[in-house]
Amino acid sequence: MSTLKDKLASGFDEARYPVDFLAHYEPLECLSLKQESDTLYVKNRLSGEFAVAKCYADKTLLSRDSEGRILRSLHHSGLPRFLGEYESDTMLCVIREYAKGVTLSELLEEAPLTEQEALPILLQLCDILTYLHSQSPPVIHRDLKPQNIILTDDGTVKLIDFGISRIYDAGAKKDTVFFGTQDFAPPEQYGFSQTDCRADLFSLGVVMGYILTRQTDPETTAAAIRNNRLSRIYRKCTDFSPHRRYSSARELKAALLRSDGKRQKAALRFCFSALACLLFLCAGFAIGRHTDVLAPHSTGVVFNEQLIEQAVRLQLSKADDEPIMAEDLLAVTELYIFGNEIAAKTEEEMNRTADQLFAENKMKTGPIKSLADLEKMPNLENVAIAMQQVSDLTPLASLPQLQVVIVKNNPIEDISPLRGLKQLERLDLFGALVEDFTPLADCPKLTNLQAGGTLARTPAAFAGLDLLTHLYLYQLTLDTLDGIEQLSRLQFIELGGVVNGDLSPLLALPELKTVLLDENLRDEAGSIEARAPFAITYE
Amino acid sequence: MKDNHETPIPVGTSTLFRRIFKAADLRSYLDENEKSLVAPTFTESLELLCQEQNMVREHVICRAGIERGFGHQLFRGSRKPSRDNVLRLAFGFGLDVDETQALLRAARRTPLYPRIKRDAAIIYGLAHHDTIIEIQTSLSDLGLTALGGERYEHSER
Repeated sequence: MSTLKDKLASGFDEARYPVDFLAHYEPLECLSLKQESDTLYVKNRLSGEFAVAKCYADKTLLSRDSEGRILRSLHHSGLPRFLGEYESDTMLCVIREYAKGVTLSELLEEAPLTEQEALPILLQLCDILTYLHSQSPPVIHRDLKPQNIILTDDGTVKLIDFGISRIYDAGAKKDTVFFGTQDFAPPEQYGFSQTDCRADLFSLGVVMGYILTRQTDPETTAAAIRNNRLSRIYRKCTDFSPHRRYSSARELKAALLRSDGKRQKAALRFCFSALACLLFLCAGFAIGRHTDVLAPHSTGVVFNEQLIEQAVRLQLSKADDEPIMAEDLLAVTELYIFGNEIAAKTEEEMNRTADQLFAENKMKTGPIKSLADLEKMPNLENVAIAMQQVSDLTPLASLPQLQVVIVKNNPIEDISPLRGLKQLERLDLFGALVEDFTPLADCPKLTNLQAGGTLARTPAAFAGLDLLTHLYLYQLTLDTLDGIEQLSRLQFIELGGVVNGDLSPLLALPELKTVLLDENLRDEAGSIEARAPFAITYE
Repeated sequence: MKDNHETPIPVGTSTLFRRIFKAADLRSYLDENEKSLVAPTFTESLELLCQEQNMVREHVICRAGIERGFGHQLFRGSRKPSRDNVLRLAFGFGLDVDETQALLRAARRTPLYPRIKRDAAIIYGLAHHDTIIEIQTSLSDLGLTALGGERYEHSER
């Protein structure tokens, strides 16, 4: 007679899961059990990493194949990474990164958050929604609620569960299948009209009310939010009519930033002191020279660098003659400048134009010498100041939100101001006059580094940068690759040259998937090619 | 005689079951046990189990194979237990499956789910009153992750 234990050993009920899924992952726990899907907490048998598998048993449901498709195309620090998909005749399993931390609903069990605690969470959610809605076509989450918002150990916010997300179909009039969670879903999600980006903004409004008051009823929540500015924002987010809500997450973020009394007071203080200085100077001028007092032309912010001002105007959609106020600058999260004429709205646009100028041999070094203007934009996350005359990075040290910094082709000698930028994920220092990159070991999120064309000589220059997954060394010849094995997370490396010609240290990198080599290394590559578990490609 | 309304809380579910069966009618049961109807917290559950099973913390922690200092923190409530540590404590107390599910609920952890091989093996071990060493051996024989394996740190959600 076979015992339960024998049955377990022979596969048990897990047989209904795809065979290759079970070959790669060990299910540890069932996180949720719904009619259409099981959500499992799983462990990668090879790497030991934990992940979440959403297993759909009913193939007829609309969303079952869309979660993988949607996740696969998204790359944002606030969204779980797509790790794979496994299918059998009866089931589809979508694997995503496990976000370690607490859900917002768990966090709120004890007490609501204060405005100061809530604001960074809401701002990060605005950024995630801006990213989702800026996809082409836009991705609408449709199930934004405290249970789907994870606060990870390092304070970043992750949005999970794309089970009922959909890609906006401009032709459709109404949603045909009703999903979402009561209280957090907008009226149109119950079939009044098709859900668009404003549906997520409605839910974000309800989440905001819930964070601050732990209530979801619109009237009592609005009354319970003590800050009038926030209460107004809440009402606008949760208006019955999508037309009266904020039109974008970016607009909502700007409103939230303006609602922050402390920041606003700081901005006002800045304006007052600027005005006072100006009046004082004018008075002195009038008394000293017995001339008319000069009237101030504008109380707007004055920039040191014209090209930076131009890029800011582009981000804020401000005309050249419109003054830019200090508080406007709080809404600037990205800036893209390349050479002497490119100020672009997105990184893609900047790169496209730069490629064109390089091809036509028209790219010239730009005029920017100082980054001091950037200090006026405390919420900057992505900044590119490429091919300028910048040597001092000190102003970047006061911008803790920075995630992407592109300062290639600048005469930079000291990178220590970047030390301790806690959110920095990607850094481009191509052409910097830097030999030693170890100060960057204090950036806990840095995974992607371009150090091509610099003065680095051996892998020791990158000691301690253990989290790097991508290292670009275009136009850089190292003396040796000995020591590269310390960068054990590397998945990608680009090499310009190696003096001793020995590429075998690359074989010690367990996660390496792709090696991009300069043509001159083709012969050296031949000697490791047969043993290499990674792909080798050439420039 | 002691007033029923002052019954010290928390009270174990088995006691509540006995009281339902003994009660003259439902209303009097509900009135008399009003304060006990709130589910006990995780630390309250641990205390209750100690009383019911006549065991001391030290003994349970030792039988659960949990490091001593950490075990006492779990009993005091100064640390939140991972799901695996709740399960280790279940083996430490020698609980059956239903009692283990109740303890997981009190700790706000997901219940054992018989469609998952590892959970099924744990259910089997609980039903057969395995010791912690026996269940760890069974898991290892089946190629499954041991309870509280070094890298198994899933303490939230």
